[in-house]
Amino acid sequence: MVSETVYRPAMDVVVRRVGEESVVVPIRNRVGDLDSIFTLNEVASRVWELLDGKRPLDAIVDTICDEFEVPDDVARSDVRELLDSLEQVHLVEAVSE
Amino acid sequence: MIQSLSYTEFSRRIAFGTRHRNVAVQGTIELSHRCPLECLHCYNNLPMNDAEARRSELTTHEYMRLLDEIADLGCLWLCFTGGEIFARRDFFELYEYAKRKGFLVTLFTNGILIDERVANRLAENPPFSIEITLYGRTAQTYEALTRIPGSWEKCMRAIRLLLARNLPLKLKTVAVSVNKHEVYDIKAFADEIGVDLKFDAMMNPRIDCSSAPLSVRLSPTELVELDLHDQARAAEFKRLGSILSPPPQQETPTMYDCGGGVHSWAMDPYGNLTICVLSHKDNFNIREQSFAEAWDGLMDVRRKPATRPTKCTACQIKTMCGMCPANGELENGDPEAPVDFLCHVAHLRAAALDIDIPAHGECEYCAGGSAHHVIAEEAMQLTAASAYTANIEITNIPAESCGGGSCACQK
Repeated sequence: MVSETVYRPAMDVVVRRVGEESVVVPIRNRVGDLDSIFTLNEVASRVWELLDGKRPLDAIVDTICDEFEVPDDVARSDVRELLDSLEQVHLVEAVSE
Repeated sequence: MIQSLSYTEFSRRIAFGTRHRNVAVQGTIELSHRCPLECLHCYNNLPMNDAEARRSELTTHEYMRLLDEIADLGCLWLCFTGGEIFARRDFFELYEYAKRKGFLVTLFTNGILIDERVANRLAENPPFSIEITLYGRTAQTYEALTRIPGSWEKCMRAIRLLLARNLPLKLKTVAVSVNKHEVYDIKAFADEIGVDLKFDAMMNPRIDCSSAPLSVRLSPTELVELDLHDQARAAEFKRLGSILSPPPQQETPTMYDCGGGVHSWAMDPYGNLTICVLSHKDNFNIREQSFAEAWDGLMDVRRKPATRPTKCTACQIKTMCGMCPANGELENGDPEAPVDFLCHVAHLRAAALDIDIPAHGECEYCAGGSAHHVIAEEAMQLTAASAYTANIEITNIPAESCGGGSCACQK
């Protein structure tokens, strides 16, 4: 992954807030067909909100640093790890600039 | 930051996480009471051409506003039921909107209006679960209950169409006097096509207080005979019966002790929010207030204290009984008045399954009570006639729903 790559949520999922949980719900697939259901913690939920297909990684990292008061290197590493995980399970799509 | 869970782990976690937070996580919406069938046992159906009913139903826009609001409030599981859901011309508009909002949507239908076009559209956007009620294994029995010639074939067509598209189909049935001889034929059919079946024999009066459905209700003996017919079902009741309900913890027990108004709710086609599909005495209309305000009202209902002790208060076999305020309301006009039929059934089940019932006040069906001999005789006849043995193996199979037939959480 390079920092110029931008991401957006996959078209066939939506994130729902249920109580304290943020749940990634598939729209097209049957829930029963999935191996697992994904939940996001608070930081991951915020990153998800920022994935608009336009915002670069640096901007997302800056926002996370500001809002969660974490050092840049920690935030960058966490966000990258998250995006890799989300991409691996097809919950986000890379957008070509 | 991201956690992967199985569906079972996930649903348990949501249930645990929301249990003290009054999140309206699970809702049942009766989209319309209109229905093409005229079932003898039904508690809410109206004719398809009932213009007044149609005019009074929430509009497409009102439903969408509702879906927006409940999504924001954390509702996840949604059950669309009726009447008949496909009676609404805008069904797919509402359903697909709900799917886009990320609800896990369960559909309850009789299947009569599912043709190839409908099945294809569902396959494009599959529900979480779709449950068809099959009222008989034969056309003769099915249509004796639904009173519409040709309806059995249409229901069977729907089953075939959904199966062919690998949709998450389940079957269910009601057990009433008209079809009781085919209940286990329906079960065999479900096994043959590889889908789950559940059945419910707890019929109640109509929500307009008509007692017409009771004319086809099984007697307690017939009902328990069906329980004993199936070893797995009997074992499940035995397991449930062995979990004695604890006496009320609070000094002043609440009238309700179900999940209604705590995490689940129901709404009729006219926008009335209630604790469940059967309970209509306390309702809050979302045309007059927001859902959040209506939900607050429902929580007040849920906290209502019981006004008096009854024989149900200290009863410890509640797990085998369908008694709840909604049933009391429908059958006796009083949410706290014990329903004799349910009490009879619960005590007969316990006796037939050799489960001791701790004393719980003045109960005519318990030892020393005026009707105890009836229970003893009926239980003796039942156990003598069935293949059941008291040493039946207890297995862990899913419990029944509340009997209202519209709980959305069954999965």
